[in-house]
Amino acid sequence: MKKQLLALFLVLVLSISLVGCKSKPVDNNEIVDEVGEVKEDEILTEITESTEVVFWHAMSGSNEEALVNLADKFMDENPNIKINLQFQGNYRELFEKLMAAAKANQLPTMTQIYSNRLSWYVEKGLVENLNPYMENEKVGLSKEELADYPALFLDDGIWNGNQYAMPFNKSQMVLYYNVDMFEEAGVEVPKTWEEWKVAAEKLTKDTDGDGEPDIYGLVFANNISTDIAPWLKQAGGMTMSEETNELYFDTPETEEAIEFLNGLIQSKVARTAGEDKYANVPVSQGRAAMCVASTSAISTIEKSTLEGINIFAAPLPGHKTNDQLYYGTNVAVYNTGTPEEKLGAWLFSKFLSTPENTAYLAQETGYLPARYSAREIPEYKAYLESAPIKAVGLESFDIGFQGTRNIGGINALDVLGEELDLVFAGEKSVPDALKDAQERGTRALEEARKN
Amino acid sequence: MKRTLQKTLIYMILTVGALFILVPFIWMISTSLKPSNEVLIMPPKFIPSKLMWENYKIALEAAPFKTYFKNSIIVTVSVTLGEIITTILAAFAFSRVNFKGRDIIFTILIATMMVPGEVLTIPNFVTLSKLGWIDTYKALIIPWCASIYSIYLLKQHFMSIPDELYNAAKIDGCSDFKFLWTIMVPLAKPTIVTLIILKVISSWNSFFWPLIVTNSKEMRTLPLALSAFTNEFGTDYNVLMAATNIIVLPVIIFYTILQKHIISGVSKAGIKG
Repeated sequence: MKKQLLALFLVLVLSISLVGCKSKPVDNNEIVDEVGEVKEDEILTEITESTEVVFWHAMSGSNEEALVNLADKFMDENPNIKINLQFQGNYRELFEKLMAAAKANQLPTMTQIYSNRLSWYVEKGLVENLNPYMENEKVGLSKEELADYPALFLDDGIWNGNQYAMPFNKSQMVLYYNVDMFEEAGVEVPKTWEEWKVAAEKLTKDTDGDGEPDIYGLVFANNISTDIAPWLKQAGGMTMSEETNELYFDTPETEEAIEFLNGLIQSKVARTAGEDKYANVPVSQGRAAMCVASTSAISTIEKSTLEGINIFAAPLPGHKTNDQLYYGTNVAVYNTGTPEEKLGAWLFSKFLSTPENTAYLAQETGYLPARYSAREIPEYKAYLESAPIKAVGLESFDIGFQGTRNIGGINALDVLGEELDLVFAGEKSVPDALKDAQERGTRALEEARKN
Repeated sequence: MKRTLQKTLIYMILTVGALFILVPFIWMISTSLKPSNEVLIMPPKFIPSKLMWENYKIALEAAPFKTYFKNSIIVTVSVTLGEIITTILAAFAFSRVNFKGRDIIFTILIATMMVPGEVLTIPNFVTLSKLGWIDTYKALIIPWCASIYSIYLLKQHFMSIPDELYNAAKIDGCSDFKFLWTIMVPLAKPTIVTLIILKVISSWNSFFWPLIVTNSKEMRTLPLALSAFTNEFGTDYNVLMAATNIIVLPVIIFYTILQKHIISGVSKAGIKG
C-alpha cells in the first residue's frame, strides 16, 4: 500500500513537471543575451574570406529549381559566398522548425518567412535590421532602386521604421472565371459587389432540377477567414490594428462584409470549396463559374483544367474601396550569424529582388515580381504577352495591401473562421457570430502573445 | 447445400473486405498514371485516358531518391534493432529481475506515455542541438531506440511465461542472460515480430522528426521527398502517387516476405497494426 502511494506520488510529480515543460518554454530573451547586443551601424561591406549563408525555404518542385538557379548565379558572381539552400518542408513545417531552432539558438543565417510569423522574431530581437545595409553606399540600394519596389512589399518588412525583411515571392488574391460561361450567360466581369452578386446568380445552374446547383456561380476557399481582409477593407473596416492590437470583428463594416458573403452562400449561388479542398478545383472542372484564389495558383490551375475550358482572372470586385489583398513571403536575416554571414545574406536578399532576378523567379514560379521595372525585362515581357493571365496580378500594386502581422493574428482569424462556419451552415446569426468572434478572438490574441 | 451457401457467403464477405483494402491501392496506381487534369475529375475515372509513365520520371527527378532510400534503410534497420534489443532487456528486467524500486520505475515509465509527442519536439530538438547531433544519423536513430509501449507489451508477455520454467532453468545452472535469449525470446516470438512490424512501419513513414533534425539532402529520408509535390494552392496528386508507389514498394516486399510470421505474430499477440 505504502509502495503504491509512493508510486502515485512520483507519477504526479513527473506529470506536473512535464506539464511545466509545456507551459514554460525556453526564455527567448536568453538567446538574445547569449548572442550579445548587436551594434547595428557597424556592418561589414566586403567579404574577403569564404563565407557560408544557410537559407531555409519552403520552395519545392519547379520553385526550388528556380531558386537553385538563382543561388548558382549569385555564387558565380560572388565566389566568396556559398549559399546553402535548405528545404524545410511546407510553410507550416518551416515555421515550426524555425521556432524550434530559435529556442535551441540554431537559427539559419536567413529564411523565407511570412511577416505575420516574423513579427514574433522581431519582437524577440532576433532579426537583423537591414537599414544600415540598405543605406550603405557600397552595398545598399539607391533611391531610384528603392522607389522601384512597390511600397506595399517593402512596408510588409518594416517594423518601427526598420526594414527587417525584403520582398521575395508575392501573389495577389484574384477572381478566376470561366470565360465561356461568362460569354454564354452574357455576363461582364464584375467590378462591384452588386455586379458580382448578379453575375453569380446568372451563372448558377441547377441542371437536374433537384434544388441543388450543379454549377455554382462562385466558390470561396475553405479557410475564408484567413483572407477575409479585402472584403472588410472594401466595406471600410479592417481585421485588427497592429498598433493597439485591437480586433475589429464586431463592427458595422465587418457585419456588412460578412452579410454580403453569407447572402451569396445562403442563396446558393456561392459555396466554399468543401471536399474539393481548393476553390480553383471546381472551376478547373467546369463545376463552377468563378472562384477566389491566389495568382500563384495559376500554374496548378493550368495543369488541372479540363480541355475546352478557358479560365481568366481579374482583380476582386470592389465596394466602398477597391483594396486588393497581396500576400507572399519575404526573406529575413537573423542577427545570430557572424558579420560576414549577415552581409552575405543581405547581398543575397538584394540579389533575389533585382529586376532581372525577380522577373526570372516570377516567370519560373508563377509568383509576382517584387519590382515595377521587372515588367520591362524582355524575357518577362514576352512571357506576359504569351500568358496574359500572369499580368493580372501586376495591375493593382498601388491599391494593394498585405495582411495582418499581429502576433497571434492568425489565431484570432481562425476563431473568426470557426464562427463564420456556423453562420454559413445557417446555425448562427451574423451579429451573434461576430460578437462571439470578437470575444474569443481577443482571448486567442492575448494567449498567443504570452508565448 | 448448407455448406456451399455458408462458403459462398464467407467468400463474398472476404471479397468485399479485400476490395475495401485493395481499392485505395488500385486508386493510387491509377492516379499515378493519370494526366493532371483527370486526377480530380467528377465522376472519378479509374482508367486514365492516356498512361502517363512520365509521372514516375518527374517523381524520381524531384528528389535524390537513391540517397533517401539509403538513409531510410539505415535508419529503419538501426532503429528497429535498437528498439528490439532495449525492449527485450528492459522487459526481462521488469518482469523477472527483482531489484529495488522496480515497480516504481516502471510506473514512472508508463506515466511518460501520457505526454503527447508534440510537446517534446522542441525540448528534444534543443537537447540534440546541444549535443551537436543535428543533421546526423545519431539524431535520426538514437532517440527512437527505446519505446515504453514496446517494453510494456513484451513485459506482459514475459510475465505470462510460468515461473516454473525460470526456476527449472536456474536449477540446471542457466544464467539469466542465457535464459532470456534461449527460452524467453523464442517463446515471445509472436510479440517481438509484432513489435518489429510496428517499428518498421512507423520508422519508414516517419516524416516530422527527420524534417526537424536534418537540414541537408544527404541526411533526409524518403517521406520528406513527398512534400515536394504539395504547395499551398494544390497538390500534384498524380506525381505524388507515383512517388508514393515507389516509397511503399519496399514495405510491400517486406510484408510479402514476412507475411507468414506477421499473420501468426499478430494473431498470437492479439495486436492489430
